[in-house]
Amino acid sequence: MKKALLLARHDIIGQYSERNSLFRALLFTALPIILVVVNRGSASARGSSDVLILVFALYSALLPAASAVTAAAGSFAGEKEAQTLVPLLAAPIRDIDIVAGKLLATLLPSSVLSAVSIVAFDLAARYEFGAERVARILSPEILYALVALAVFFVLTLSSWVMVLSSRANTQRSAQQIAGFMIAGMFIGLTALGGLAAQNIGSDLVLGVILAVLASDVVALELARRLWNREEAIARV
Amino acid sequence: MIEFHDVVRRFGHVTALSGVSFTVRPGEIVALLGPNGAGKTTASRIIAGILAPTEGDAVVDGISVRADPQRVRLRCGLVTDSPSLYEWMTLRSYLTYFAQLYNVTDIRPRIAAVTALMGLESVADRKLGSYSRGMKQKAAIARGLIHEPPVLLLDEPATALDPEMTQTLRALILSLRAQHRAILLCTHDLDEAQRIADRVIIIDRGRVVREATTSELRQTGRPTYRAVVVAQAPAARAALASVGITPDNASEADGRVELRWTADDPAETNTRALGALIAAGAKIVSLTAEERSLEEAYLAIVAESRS
Repeated sequence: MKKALLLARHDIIGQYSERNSLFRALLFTALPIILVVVNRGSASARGSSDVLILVFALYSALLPAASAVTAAAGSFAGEKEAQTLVPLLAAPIRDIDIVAGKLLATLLPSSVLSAVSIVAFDLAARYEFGAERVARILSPEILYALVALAVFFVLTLSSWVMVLSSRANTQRSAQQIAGFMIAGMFIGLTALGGLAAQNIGSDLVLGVILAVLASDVVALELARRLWNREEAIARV
Repeated sequence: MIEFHDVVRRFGHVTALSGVSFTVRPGEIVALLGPNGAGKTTASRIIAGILAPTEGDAVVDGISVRADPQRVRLRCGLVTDSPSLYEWMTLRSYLTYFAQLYNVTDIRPRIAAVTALMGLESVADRKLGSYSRGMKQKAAIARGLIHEPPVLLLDEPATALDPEMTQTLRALILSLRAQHRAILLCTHDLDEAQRIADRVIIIDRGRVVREATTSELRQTGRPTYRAVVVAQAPAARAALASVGITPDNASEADGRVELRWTADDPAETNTRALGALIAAGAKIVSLTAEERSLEEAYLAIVAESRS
C-alpha cells in the first residue's frame, strides 16, 4: 500500500503540474458559481426551480470529478505514449499497487474538488436564492450524499477508464473514451437526480448511491482482473 | 547471473521467442544482436520481470522470474532506447521517486553517487525536460543504477545519440562491467557490439542462431586472402585459373592487380596460387589474410539461418 500511495502522490503532482489540467480543474470547480449567476432569474421562482437547484448541486459534485477522471485517463495513456510506463513496470511494485495508486490519484483530487465545488455552490445558492430555501432543498444529508455520490461515481469511472485506457495507445483516444463514459453517466445521473428532486428527499439519492456503489464493486473487480503488466506492456 | 533456459514466449499466435537459451556471467557484457523484431526486447523484458515466459524460465541472480518476479525486478536495472523520463520532474526528484519504489534505504548518498557517475551533479535540480538527448539517456541510466542492480539490461541504449555521447556511454558501460555487473546489451549496432561486448549472441526470428566472441564470429566461414601483384589482370586471372583457383574479385589500378580468393586449406591453396602467379611473370607485392567484418559475418549468419 505504501507504494500505491507513493505512486498516487507522484501521479497527482504530475497531473496538476500541467497548466491545462490545473486550469480545467479550477474551471470545473468554479462552475457552480457560474451556474448560480447565470440562472438567477429561473431559479428564483419557487416550485419547479427547486429541482433546478438540486440538479445544479448534483452537477457541482460531478463536474470536477469528471474533469479529474479525464485528466487521469490522459495521464495513464500519456505514460504509454511517452514510454514512461516501461520503467514503472520494471520496478518492484505489484500490479495491484499500480491499480490502487492510479485509482487513488484520480479519487483523491476529485473528491477534494467535488467537496470544494459543492460547498461553493451551497454558499452561492444561499446568497442568491435565500439561505432558508436552500437549506431546505440541500439538507446536510443531501450534501454529504452528493459528495459520496461523486466519490463513487469517480471510482466507477476511473476503474473503467483505467481498464480501457490501458488498451488505448494515445492520450487523445484515452480522453475520448473517458469523455464518452462521462457523458453516458451524466445523462443517467441527471435523469435520476431529476427523479430524486420530485420528492426533494434523500431516499432516491441514496438509491442512486447504492446503484453506483454496486457498479464500483463490479468495475474494481474488473480493473483488478483485467489490468496487468503483461497486457499493459504488450501495447507499449 | 542471467540464465535463460529454453524460453518460449508467445503473443497470441505470434511466437516472439522460440526455445532461447543463454547465460551472462558477472563482469561480462553480452550483446544480443539481431534485426528488428528478432525478439531482443522481449528477452530483456522477460529478464526484467515485466513479461512472463510462456515456457522455460529465466533466472536472475539465482531467482526464477516465474517464481518471484518482484525479487527479480529488484536485481535488474533496465534502460531502453527511449529515456522514458517524467520531464516535469527534476533529476533529483525523479531518482528519489525510483529509489523509493526500489526500497533504497540511503537515498541521498545513492543519488549523489549515480549523478556523480553520470556527470549530472550540476544539473540534478533542473527539470528533465530541459536536458539534451544525451543527458536524458544518462539520467535513464542513473535511474537504472539507483538500486545498485547486479544485472543491467540495456536495450538499444545508444539510439539517437551523437558519436561523442555514444563514446561516453561506451566508456560508462565498460566501467559498469568493471564493477562485476552482468550486462546484456540488446542492439542491432554491430560496431557497438564489436567494441564492448565480450560475447555476441545472434538472434533471429526468436531463435539463437550463433553464440561466439566477436573474433570467433569474424573467423566464421571460409577465410579470404588478398594478393596484390604487379601484372596484367587477365594474365593474373588466367594464372590462377590454371591451378584451379577462381578469384572472387580482381581489380587493377596503377599497374597493380588486387586479387581475392577463399581457401579451405590456406597453406596448399596459397602456395599453388603464388606459384602460378610467379610462373606467369607476376611480381608479388603482398599477401594478406582478410578478417571479415562483424557486419559481413552477421549478415552471412543471418542469411544462413534463414536458408
